[in-house]
Amino acid sequence: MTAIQVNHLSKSYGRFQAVNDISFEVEAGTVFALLGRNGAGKTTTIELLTGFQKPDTGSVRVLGLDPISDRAQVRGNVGIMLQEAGFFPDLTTGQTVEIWRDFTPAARPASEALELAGLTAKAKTKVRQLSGGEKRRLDLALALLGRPDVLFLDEPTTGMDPEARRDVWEVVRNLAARGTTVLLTTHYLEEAQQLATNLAIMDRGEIVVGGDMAETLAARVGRVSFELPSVIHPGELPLPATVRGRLAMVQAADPDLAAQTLLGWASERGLRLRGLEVRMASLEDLFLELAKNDEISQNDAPAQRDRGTRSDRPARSGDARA
Amino acid sequence: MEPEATALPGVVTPVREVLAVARLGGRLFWGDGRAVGGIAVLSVCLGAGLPLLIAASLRSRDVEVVLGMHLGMLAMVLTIVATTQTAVTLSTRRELLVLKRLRASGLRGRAIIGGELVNIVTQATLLSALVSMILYTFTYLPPPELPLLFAACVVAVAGVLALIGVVFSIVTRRPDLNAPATIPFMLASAAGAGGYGPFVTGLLPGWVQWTLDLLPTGAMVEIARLACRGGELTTLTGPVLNLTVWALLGLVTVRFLFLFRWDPRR
Amino acid sequence: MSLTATYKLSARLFWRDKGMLPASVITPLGLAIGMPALMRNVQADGVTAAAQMFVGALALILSGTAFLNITVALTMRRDQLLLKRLRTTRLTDRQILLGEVANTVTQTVALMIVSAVAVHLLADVPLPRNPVLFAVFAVAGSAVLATLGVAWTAAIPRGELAAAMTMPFFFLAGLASGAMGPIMNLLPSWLHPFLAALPTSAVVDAVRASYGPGTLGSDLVAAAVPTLVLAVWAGVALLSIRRWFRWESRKS
Repeated sequence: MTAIQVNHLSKSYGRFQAVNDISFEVEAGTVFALLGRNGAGKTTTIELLTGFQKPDTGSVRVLGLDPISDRAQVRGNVGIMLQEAGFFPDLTTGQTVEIWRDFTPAARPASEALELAGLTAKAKTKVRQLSGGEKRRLDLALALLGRPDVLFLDEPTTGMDPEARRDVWEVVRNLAARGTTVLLTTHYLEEAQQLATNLAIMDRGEIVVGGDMAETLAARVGRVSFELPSVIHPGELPLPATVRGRLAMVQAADPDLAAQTLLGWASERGLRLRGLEVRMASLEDLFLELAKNDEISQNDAPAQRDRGTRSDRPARSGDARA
Repeated sequence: MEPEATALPGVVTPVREVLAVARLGGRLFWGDGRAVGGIAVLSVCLGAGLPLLIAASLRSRDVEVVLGMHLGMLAMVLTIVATTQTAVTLSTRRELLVLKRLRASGLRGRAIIGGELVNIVTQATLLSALVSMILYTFTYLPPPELPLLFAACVVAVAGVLALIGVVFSIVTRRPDLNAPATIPFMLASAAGAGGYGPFVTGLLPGWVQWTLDLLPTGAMVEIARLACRGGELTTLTGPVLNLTVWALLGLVTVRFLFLFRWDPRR
Repeated sequence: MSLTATYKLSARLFWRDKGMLPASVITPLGLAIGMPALMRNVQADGVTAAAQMFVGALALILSGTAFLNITVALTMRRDQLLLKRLRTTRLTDRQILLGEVANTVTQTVALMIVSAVAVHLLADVPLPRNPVLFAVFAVAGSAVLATLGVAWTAAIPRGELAAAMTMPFFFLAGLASGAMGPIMNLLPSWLHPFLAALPTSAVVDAVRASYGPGTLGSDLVAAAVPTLVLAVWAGVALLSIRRWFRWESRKS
């Protein structure tokens, strides 16, 4: 069953095209990650999906309903964690959850919601005294209060320490295992890779890559990197490599095999490949690859340059620093 | 214009820092057309509208009544745009963590408060000038005999009123509470200064009037009245002393800025 | 159920903070009780003057507690994205605003009743002859003023300007209803109908009838124009809310 359906959705603010003709579907009970840099259109997409913004064109269906015209009905089955929304600073964490239970039919007990979000110890603390990460957790507690079928999480772990982040991942995994559909946006590639079964990467309002996480990554190349021995000229290597400074990098569909080839070649010559690193394809590679393509296409089309800061950056292939 | 000289005498804060904060506040205010429009329209309606209507409806010319009304309404407008506005602005900036951020940038507390005051005093002075010009143009109210004294008096009173606003934002920290909290002060200022017309002021028992005259707006009315009609400057000892005492009280407040909270997370 | 929930939230936020009480309760009460009490003592014809002053001062309660409070609170909540957060729940837009309005009406009506009793005890002002008329207009007037306050938030660009952009109406309402003394007599006569058309003046007129001599019939007649005035203002407020109300601070 399809829980969320997005068809040719577009939204612009004035002359700024925030979301440009995107389409995707989220199956019930799966975790879907929306990735992208700042300003890529992730938050606007979430606001369109939750009915806070009206699309210019295209349509959204959440559980088969329109989030704007059927708002009351949709809200009853949906939990929303916005990236930015206020709290009443002078209420305590516990009071906030209690008050929210009044708004939520069949709400979880307050203690359960606080426990899920790891806030039990902070129940008597005023919201204004919470740290940024703790506020995010309170946000999560409120979103989970109504046992939603669909959960929207806009950058859920921003500002949390690594341990808290892992706790939240655990909560999301458990919810998904019990059939909750989750759509999350994140900057953290690891987070998406850990949680999501499907993904879409957005850039300038468009989806540039989308689909099943495993398949998407399988179609990408891994890489092997190592320090180029001083006596060797890059042209002598058995595989084509890009070299920057002393660091050589070989891209290959099967990086394990490439590493074996390189090691065999080196031992024949009595050389050592220091700092050898073998990496399977990861979302990070995918991101870097997209960024690289972006720079190249920028350079290929000088007529379209209108953003000075971008266009005066020289295109360097193999720029591995994120 | 150097209103901080009146507002914060003897405080050695680099003028550059104060002006930097003032510029920030000024940009936030003047860069927002809707904000400027909203405040300006309402203050002008209040400050110029009422005396104008009264001047138009009086059967015979009565400069005394119109001038009294003008100064009374000026006191009310100044209290709103200086006291209330300072209290609300500081509390809002605190709640939005702007004050904390300014502190983090290494600015001293006095510079931040001073900058906001310079900005508020500038706005209040410009509004007063606008209101007065309208009245001199459209009624038979003559321009002040001693315009410099009038201007100095407005600037000084605006500074003192804004300092009182700082005190309000120490006492009531929530921005949504500042406005209701300053209302009694505003009403008292306006009543004492004659904003309710000559009858009400006449009705009040002597001790009430005497108390209301102790407010900075009471001193303002006396000084401004003299500036408008000319007279012996020596009669101003009382009101000038009054303003000096208020300014000193303000200075004490600034000294006690450690009571002022920069961070909402407490 | 959800309306009670928003009502409870607003009430809790209002009453739990002790800092709120001097500002929102004691000030208007002090004015509505203190001014008539003062009149009672300084005027020759004290009781009449006190009654006159008290009925006028109800305009201050209406514009202070109903209009000013809801405008400032809603603007702040809008800017802090609290309204947006309330909208992530099941509550409809109407329930959120109605809860706020209902809570404001409760506070305002309570203050009006408390001050009516207080001036009765302190300044010998009699209780209203027709308490039903008093009560109906207390409730209707607070509701219209609170709804107008909701509508006025749309004109306020940022929270920190809410107070300065609302206080002039407080003064205007007091002036028009006579709470500021007989300054009205100084104003040109063509202005009087406009001031009488303010919603606060309509309530004051009807309440004045509930205090003065009359019969049920004369009360109904006296209530006709104020009812019409309030209905028009309610319509203006509701249309403006539909057209202009913002749930989030402006993005541009």
